[in-house]
Order: sequence, then C-alpha cells, then structure tokens
Amino acid sequence: MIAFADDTPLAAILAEVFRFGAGESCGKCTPCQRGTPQLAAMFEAAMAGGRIEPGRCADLLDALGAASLCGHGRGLAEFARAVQTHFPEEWKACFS
Amino acid sequence: MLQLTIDGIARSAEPGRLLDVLLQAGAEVPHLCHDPRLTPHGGCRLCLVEVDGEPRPVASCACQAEDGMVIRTDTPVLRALRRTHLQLLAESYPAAAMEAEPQHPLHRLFAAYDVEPGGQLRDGLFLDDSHPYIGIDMTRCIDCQRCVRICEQLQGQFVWEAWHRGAALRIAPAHGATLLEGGCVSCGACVDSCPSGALYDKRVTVEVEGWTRTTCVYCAVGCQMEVGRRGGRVVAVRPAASPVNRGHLCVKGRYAFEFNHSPERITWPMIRDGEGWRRVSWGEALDFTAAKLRAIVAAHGADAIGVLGSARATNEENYLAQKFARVVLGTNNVDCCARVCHTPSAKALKTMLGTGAASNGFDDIELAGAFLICGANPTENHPVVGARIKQAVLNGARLVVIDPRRTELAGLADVHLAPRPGCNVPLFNAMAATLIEEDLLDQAFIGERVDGFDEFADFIVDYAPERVAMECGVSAADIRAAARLYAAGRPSMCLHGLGVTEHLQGTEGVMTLINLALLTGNLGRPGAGINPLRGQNNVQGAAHMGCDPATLPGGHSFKEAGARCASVWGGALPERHGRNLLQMVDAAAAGELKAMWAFGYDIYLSLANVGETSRALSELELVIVQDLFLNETAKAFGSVFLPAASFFERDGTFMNSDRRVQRIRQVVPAPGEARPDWWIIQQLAARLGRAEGFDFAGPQAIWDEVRALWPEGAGLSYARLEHESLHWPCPDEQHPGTPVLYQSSFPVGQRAMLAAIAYLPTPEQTDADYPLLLLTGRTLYQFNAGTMSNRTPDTVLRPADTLDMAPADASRLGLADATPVRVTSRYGEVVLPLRISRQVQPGQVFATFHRSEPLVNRLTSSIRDLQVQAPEYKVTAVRVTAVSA
Repeated sequence: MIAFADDTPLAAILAEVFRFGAGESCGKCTPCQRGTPQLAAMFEAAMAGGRIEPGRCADLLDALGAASLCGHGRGLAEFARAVQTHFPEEWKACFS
Repeated sequence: MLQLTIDGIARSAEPGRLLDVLLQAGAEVPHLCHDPRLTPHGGCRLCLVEVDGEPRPVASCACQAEDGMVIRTDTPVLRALRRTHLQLLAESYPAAAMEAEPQHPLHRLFAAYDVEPGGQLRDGLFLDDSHPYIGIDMTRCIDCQRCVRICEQLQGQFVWEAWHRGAALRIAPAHGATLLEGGCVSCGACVDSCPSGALYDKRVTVEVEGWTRTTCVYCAVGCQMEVGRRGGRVVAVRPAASPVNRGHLCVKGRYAFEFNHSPERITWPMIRDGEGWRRVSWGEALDFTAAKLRAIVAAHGADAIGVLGSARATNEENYLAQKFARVVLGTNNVDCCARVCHTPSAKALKTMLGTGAASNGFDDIELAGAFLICGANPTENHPVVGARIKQAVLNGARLVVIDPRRTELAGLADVHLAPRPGCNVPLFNAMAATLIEEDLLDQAFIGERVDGFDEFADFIVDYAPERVAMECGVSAADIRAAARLYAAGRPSMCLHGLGVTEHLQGTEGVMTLINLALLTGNLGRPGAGINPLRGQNNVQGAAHMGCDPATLPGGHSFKEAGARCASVWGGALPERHGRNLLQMVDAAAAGELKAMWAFGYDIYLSLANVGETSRALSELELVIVQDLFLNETAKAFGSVFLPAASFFERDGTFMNSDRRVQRIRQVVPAPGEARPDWWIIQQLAARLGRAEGFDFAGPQAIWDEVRALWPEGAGLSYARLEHESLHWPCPDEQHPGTPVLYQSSFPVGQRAMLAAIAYLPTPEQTDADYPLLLLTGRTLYQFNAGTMSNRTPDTVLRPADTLDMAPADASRLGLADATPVRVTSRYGEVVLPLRISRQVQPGQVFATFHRSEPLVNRLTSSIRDLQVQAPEYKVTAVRVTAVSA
C-alpha cells in the first residue's frame, strides 16, 4: 500500500512504485533485476523535469511485462501501462 | 516420443526440458543461466520462445516439452526481448573483455544481437586473487547464479551465495573473505559452468588446439575428462559427460596436470655407474637390463626376480608385465600396489562371494536408502563419488559413517561411530549381533542365499554391542542405532576404504562387513552391495590382469584359468608359488631375491616401516625403475631407469572402482625418448629371446588377447568402449554389462556362507612410551606418493604433510598449531608440522604421507594383514614431543 496526496504528480508515483519495486526485486530474472531500477531512475528524472527516452522505456516495460519470471515484474509493468491508459496526458508529459 | 512443431517443422522428440529438445532439434535458442547438470533456473530470460496457447513467451529452460506443442523460437518480438535483456546485462560488462576474446560464446551473443558492453562498473564486487587455479573477475558477472547452483547441486559445497537482492545482488562466498576460506574444494565446477568469464581457469593461458577424451589418472572413480593440448603440451582439462562423473571432476583431475611437463621428467634411459646416473641409449639400457636378468636367472633361478605392475599403467601393460614374469622369466613373483591397499577386499569378496571387486556401481548411489561408509573419506579421496554421496544424503538418504576421524561425511551422518583404530572386527560383529538379536534380518534372502546362519548366530552372541562397545571405544547404543539404520535403509549401500583393509585383520574386517550385507539382503540388488572404493586409477585392473602371485588374468585362480593361459601363452606356467610384494621384500632382506622391476610405483616411499624396506632393497643386485621421475626408490636403490610415457601420452584402458573398463587416449607425444610401458616390456622380452607373444602392434592387440583369456571381459571390445560405459562381467559383444553382481546367485554357488571371525587385537598397542595411536591417510589436494600432485600448484593448496592432533592433546602436551613436532614410534621418527584439528579424537593423531621428506612411513610398523599381508598403515603407537625437547 502506498499513500500519497491527491495532488501528487503521477511521475512521482511512478518513480516511487518503481523505486519500491526495484528494492523488492529478488534479483533472479534479468528484466526485473536490471530493468526495474532503470525505470525507477527514468521516472525519478522525469519528476525532476527531465525527459524519458520513449523507445528505451517501452522496451524495458515490454520486457518486464512479457518476460519477467514472476508477477512482481509483470505487475510493475501493468501499473505503468495502467497509468498510460488512464492518465495519458501526464504519461506523455514524462516523455516531452 | 512427443510430436511437436518447431518453427513450422514437425519434429519428434524424447520427453525432456523444452530447451534441450529445441537445441537437439537444431534451433538456435540463446541461453545463459541454463546448465543441463542443474535444476531449471529461468533467470536470464534469453531462452524465451512462443508457444501456441501461452499468453506470453515462456522460458524454455524451465518448462517441459509437451506433446502437440507448437513453438516459435525466432520472431521479431522474441528478438526484441532478448536484445533488451542482453543490453541490460551488457551495461555493466567490460568492453575490454569482449575486445580481447571475440570468440567467447557470450561475446558472440552480444555481437549477434548488436549489443555493446557498457563497462559501468558495479560497486561491492567480490575480489579474490588468492586461489592458485580459480581466477575471479566479477566485473564480468551477469548474476546467472550458475556458480551458486552448481556448487550446491553438483559438489554439495555451498561456497557461493547470491548476496542481497534486486540490483544490489552480488555473487560472493557465503562465508569467509576468500574462496578457500569459504570452504572451496577447488573442483572447478563453478568455473566450468560460468558462461561469462567471471570465473576462469588461471592456469589456462593459451588457446586450446584440440581436445581428447580420456580417463583420469588419480583415484579409481574413473572420471571421464577432455584434455586440451597446444604445441604438444597438456594445457587444460574439463569434465566430460559420462555416467561415472556426470560432468564433474575434482581438483586433482581438473587442475593437477602440470606434472606432465615438469622439468624433472626423465626423458631418456639411464644406468647408474658407480655413484652417478649416466644417460644411455635405449639399446644399451635394454641390453644391460636383459644381461643382468639373464645372469640372475642363471645363478639364482627365476624366483630370484620380482616384477611389480602398477596402478598407473594400463590393463594392457599390467597384463604384459605378469605375462613377462610368468612366460619370459618363469616366475609367479609378480604383484602390484593393490597389495598395500585393497587386496584384502578382493580376497574377502572373492572368498565369500566369488568376485574380487565391488558388487555394485556408482549409479546405485542415487538408489540407496542408506549408506554405511567404513574407513573411507570419499569427499577427499574419491571426491566426485563423495559429492554424489553427499547429494544423496542431502536428498534424504540415511548415513552411517564408521571412521575414527570426524570426516566431512561423518559430520553429515545420522550416526557416526568413531572406533579405536584396530577394532573394526568386533564393531562389525556387534552390528551383526544387533541385526540378529533385534530381528532386523532379511529372512527371505537368508533362506534362499545364505548358509551357516545358525552357527553364525551362536558365534555372534559374544559380540553383543554391550560386550564390545568399551573395547571399540564407542557406545553400545550407537552401534545398535547404526545397525538399525543399515537394516531399515534397504537398499543400503556399503562403501569402504583402507580404514578397513590396512589392518592385521584387514581381509577379515571386509568379511565381517560382507556378513552385514548377507544378513540384511543387501547384495544382488541395485542400491546395495559391498563396495571397496579403490584408491588408484587402475589398481583394480592391475591385480585383475594378473599382477598378483596367485591370480591369473581375469582375477582367476590357477585352477580356474591355468590351462587356458598356458594354451594361449604357448607353454606351461611356473608351478612354484609366487611371492607377493611383502614377501619379495622379506626375500630381498634374506638375500633370496636379487632383482626387482617396479614400474609406476615408488615402493621405498610407499611401504610401511622404511627402515626395513631400506635394508631389504639395499640387498638387491638389480633394481629396475620405470617411471616419469627419478622417484625415491630410484634415487636410493635404482640400477637402471627406464623413462615411461605418462597416461597423457599413450593409449589403453583403465579399470575403475565399479568394474568399468574405460579407454585412455594419447593426448600429446611422449617427451624425448620416453616410451609406453607396453613397448618397454616387449623390447625386454625380445632381448630375453621371447619376442613371440610380445610382438603386439599396440594396446588394442594386447587387449584382444586379454579378452580371449578372460571370459567375463570378452565383450569389452575397443569398438564398444568408444561409446559405451560397460561393467564386467560382459561375456560377449551383445551383452549389456553387469552393473549389479550376484542378482540371482554367487560365483561361489547359489548361497554364500557367513564368516565367523573372532577378534584378534593387533600387537601394535599404546603404552606409557608410545601413548598415542597414529593413523595415516590421504588428503584432497595430494595423491599417494606425491609423484604427480607434488609437481603441480596443488602444493600451494597443501604445502606439506602434517600431523593432525586433537585440541585437548595439543594443549596437554603444550604443542602449538603450525609448529614442528617430533613423532616417534617404535620403528622410527619424523618431524612434522602440527595441525590442531577437531576431526581427530583425543588419543589419536593423523598424518598424511605424500612427501619424501619427512617420510611418514618411517613410523609405520611391519605388522601385516593375516591373510594377504597388506601393511597395517592405520595403527601405529607413537609419542609426540616438541622439537626443542
């Protein structure tokens, strides 16, 4: 469970979820062990006003969603995809 | 067979892991964390494939092939996922490594997916440059955990661990600051499995030109290995897939090969003139030797000569050696180093059951419900079998260890009985008494297969655990617990070593073990049996080929095989009883034996009671030493030195501990003028006027003569040995071999007789002057006389022989760890560095014997096994004092 204020930007929520997810990764499979920290860093940077490279982010999320060993990695990818679906404006903002 | 569709093509396949099936079908599926020796991991996510009906790609290493599967191994989606994963792995991978080794499989994979190493150094990587063989460069680690898993699943050592988790995960030893501190036994399995080069063989510094499969030359497990060569030198060894070792090796087999190119190799014949050795031609050396032998036969008769075969030599060469003794010289004075190790086992098994060899094979280890390990330390002395036993025990098999020392397996045992050395017979008898008293018998087996039960039951009452426990130095309750575990575990597998045989009652000790198997029906079935762990590569074969005064090729007696041999050899066999090795030494001391020919055997270093050996050997007129090196026997007593080719340099066969005959193959040419033993024997036979019968073109032709003389080996043709791992008896070329002996009867008959063996204490006892009991034995990193292992970096791992002593004794005697101490027995004294060890019981000490200085056999006695005269290396009363005292 993650508590956040109703005005917390989605980039910050994404950064927190992936930071938490990276910390909780067991480290066994490549996309989760090595991909999740990169995604966390990307959203962290976006939160600070930086721009995420969309192709790289999509590759990492694809790998995490399609190829990670357990539900941990897949769930993280689904979370990102849900933000993309339900908050397309804020999602896009991370990439511009 | 399964029917699958792989990339649009219909295929049939055996059931198995999907990745293995795909690779078998020729699909190029990349993988990094997969190793067929290990359970599935599914970590690297490179072996992803698409399977119809699955919502997302599946890791093919971690799922089974199923009938009807439709699989795609190469699609744009899969390629993109694999590339993402390789990019993630490559980010921390050093670019320099890829530049230096473009052909490395991982680097080719990076290149194939257009991925470049990023070289971003991770923090907290494990560093250790201290191991002599295993190199570590964790900047190349990709966290596949194959090292962690193979150390657990193959070696059972649990050295490596995946520390932390997620991105912070790092591979490092679970304990200690270095690999060796972490309990590494240097088997190299982690190096062998590592796909990235993070772990590597330090001593392999050149690219291998080619690999040759052969059989290991150290212990008698008979591991199959591939030997890499370059420029005529052995430069690398790696394990081969084989039922014997299943892709595993130990430190000696894998790493201790550099002796082969030691500058100390003697590569030309030599004769000792006056005080020094003189290089001579083969012609001169052979003429000199033949003339001396001829003169001794003329003056003293053929029985004044003794011939010693060797565990180091092939079956073919040992066969020729005994044929030479019997046919060319005309004497049965032929023996080999089995005399000092497992001849008691062979004698006991042959006498009671009919075959002088292990009853079961190593493949039975995984079938056993319980193990009874007696006087053997397999994790050090037969490490690959030791690891298999360890895995079986970790998987739930019960374990009884009987050993005065707390060996590694004793530490894992359900019951560890640590008897006073010399008390095997009463201890095994007490187990038999327990089996009968508590009705833990296999009545059906006894009814059908065992004789003499009633008399034995009457006899054994006197050995009830409560009566003998005190003498044995163990508790009666533990003896009973051990007997119960052995009976309840059926099939229970008994494996024993020299702690049983090298005693006054060595042969009888083995007989009392056989009683236990007969009483519990642990013979003639898989997962059971009585199994001597033979100590040297071909010691079973050397004796089995007839290097034994009373045995002809095939392990047969003169009565069984005399006529057959005489007819093939074209002449009557010598009728006089031959002398065994110890009797040869006695006869030399008495002036009756004048010459000895020893190949691949340093008898002076190896025999007990060096003082007596020395007096005997110095009486000889002619000592022919045939070896790789000027060994201690040659240095002190040699008359002629004949340089032999090593096992890397010739062809032939070895016979391992579980009755398999396996090929050895020439990897590199012999250096200088060194020649295979079989060539030397044939040359000498020709010079003694007996070229006929010694004119074989090579080992295969010799082996075919062996097969003609040995009915149980007739089916073991070289053609079959190329691709089969066969246990004898194998009487014809269609026969599948016999991994388990005695399934329906014994060679001695339908029934075997229990042996009522009374305990006879050794005269070698402690007293006020010699209050401690010394045991001698081997260690993981060295091998026997050290002729080979002392000429390798194993000396870094085990630099010296030591005297191991219990902390309580060391403290009582005021002796400090690692300081030199004087060990004195009734027969001699040596100075050894002290090693305080909790493996040793108070009142006992343990020494290894791998070095010529200090020569530990200065201490051992002349007491021998009552039946076959193996020396009692395992019991010597000593005192230990500080060197300054």
